[in-house]
Amino acid sequence: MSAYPEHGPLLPTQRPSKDKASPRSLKLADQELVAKIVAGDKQAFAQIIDRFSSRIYRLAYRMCGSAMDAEDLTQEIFLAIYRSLPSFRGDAALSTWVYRVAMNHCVDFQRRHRPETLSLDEQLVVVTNRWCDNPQEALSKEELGRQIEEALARLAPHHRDVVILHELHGLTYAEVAKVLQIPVGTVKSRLSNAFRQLRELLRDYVEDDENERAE
Amino acid sequence: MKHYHNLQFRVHTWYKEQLKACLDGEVSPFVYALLRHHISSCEECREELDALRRIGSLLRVGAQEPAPWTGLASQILSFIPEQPVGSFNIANKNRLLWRRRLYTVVGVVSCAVCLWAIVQFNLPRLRLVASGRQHLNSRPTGHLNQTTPDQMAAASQTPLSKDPFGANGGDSGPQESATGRTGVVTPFTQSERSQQGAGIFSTSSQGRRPSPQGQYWGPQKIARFSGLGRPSPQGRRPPTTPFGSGTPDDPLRLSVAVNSISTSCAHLMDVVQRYGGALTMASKPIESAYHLPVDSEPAACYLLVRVPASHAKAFYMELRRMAVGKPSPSQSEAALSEYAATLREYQPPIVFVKPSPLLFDAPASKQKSHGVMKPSAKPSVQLPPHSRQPVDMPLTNPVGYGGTVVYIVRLHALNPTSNLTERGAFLNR
Repeated sequence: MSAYPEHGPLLPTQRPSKDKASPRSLKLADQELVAKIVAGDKQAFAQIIDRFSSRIYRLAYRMCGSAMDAEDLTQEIFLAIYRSLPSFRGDAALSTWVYRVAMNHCVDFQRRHRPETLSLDEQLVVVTNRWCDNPQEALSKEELGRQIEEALARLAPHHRDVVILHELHGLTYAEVAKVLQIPVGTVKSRLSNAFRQLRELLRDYVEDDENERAE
Repeated sequence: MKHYHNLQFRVHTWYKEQLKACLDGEVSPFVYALLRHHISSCEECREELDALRRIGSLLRVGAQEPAPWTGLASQILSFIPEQPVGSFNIANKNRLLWRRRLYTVVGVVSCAVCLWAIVQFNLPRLRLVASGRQHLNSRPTGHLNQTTPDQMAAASQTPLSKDPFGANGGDSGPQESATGRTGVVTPFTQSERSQQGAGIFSTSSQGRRPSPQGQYWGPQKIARFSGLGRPSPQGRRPPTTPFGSGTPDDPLRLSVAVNSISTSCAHLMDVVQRYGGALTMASKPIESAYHLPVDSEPAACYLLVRVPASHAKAFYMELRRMAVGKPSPSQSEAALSEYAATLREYQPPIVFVKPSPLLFDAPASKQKSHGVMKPSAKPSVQLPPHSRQPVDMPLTNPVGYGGTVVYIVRLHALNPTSNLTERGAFLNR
């Protein structure tokens, strides 16, 4: 007789797993890439820009809240990455290291600048970009996005960082822990607490979905 | 039962906290199996799990993250410097190295300048201390502590090479009495002396110990300068003060402004007799021995006083009570506040004495059996309690207890109408 005769229907039998560490071949490739850049190969650095520019820009946009500032911040981050590449030892994955540099810069930026609201032009650009969508869907999506932005803004900064890195950028717990330089257990508890707060903040959406499912 | 429910609640809470990690695949297989089993029987956790999934999907779908500008990559690449990052790093290191060297040189130079300034500022005092030590080292040790009348006489017969009051040329006494404001004075210049005009100062020989002109000899400065902050044990060489060391060849020198020289002399005679000491008017041998400017200073009267060291403080208090000088109106408040500040910091021995039996630092010597009386010294100023007095060597008794302190007291009338007449009348009496 099995120790667990009745398995819950809501959890799959096979445990979901994520890559906890980068493959060894990928690490070697990263180190070779870094060695080329240190030797003066500018095209090798272009590969890094191609790999990370979108993610770093989205992270910068999320942390500073303005497209203009996000572009400037992204440039600063990549310049800092270029300058500090000789200090990359290869202990962690290159992506983790890049995220750590980016997060440090974002935190510095937040210290230097007060949080600013979006300007009217930028808001207008965001709305008009969606004109070709179904207006009702676009409107509801816009509303959902606004609610989520508000909910994220109301989170504590240390909770928000964890949510952004894990949920929006797909980093594992170990990578988030390395980027933020905190223990994995802390990441786990912060994420759990953040989701509990988000459930309260997004109660309307969560309950609507539950009601639809019940019906 | 209560404990069972409590434990069940805690286990449920722990499962609830693990749900998010379970969804993300960040729990061990064992915990995953436990959670599956728990969820099958717990409705609340099922709802929680569902809500977590829903929130995750909402975040991924609804979060607005704009795509970067397409030319961003090339723009970033254009900002990257052409030189290899390794050379950039070396250049940075070299720059840091040079900056560190520069800071080191600047620090060393500034330290040297500060040291030079401090030495220049304190050079007169250092010279002063050095000369005082040299003087002490060259002094014979026979007259240090115990003095007998024979020794006193021998000392008075020996002419001293020093000028106790710095009165060469008569620049000290008459002008001082002419100002009529100082009680016991420091070797100030005439103008500064008239400006200071405090009630108590002490006299120093200008020729022997050149002190900075015009400086106020506060208690702290006196203690620092003369080493009075350290106790002097018996049998050791007495510490020198700016005003003398209290030995026959280097008596303490005090200048007291009084109302009437004759009355003050009679009172001092009485006091010294009661304390078991001896008082002598300045005769020719004494004048020559100590180079007293008696002839050039007719308005003043010089006394050679020997007092047992146990009564030295009381004797000084009597002098203090006799002193009638008052601070000048212009400088009074500043001088008094400064003096009060220094008193609070250091608390000099004399002016801190309160009228009490504890006036004496040590009991009167039993060898002095010829009618030694306790003085009834009452300080004329309001002073801190006696318990706060320092236990260091007092200024008026540098020879230590058991010895004899020798003073040369210069009395001068505060507002003399006819100094010569008064002194002459006193001498003729």
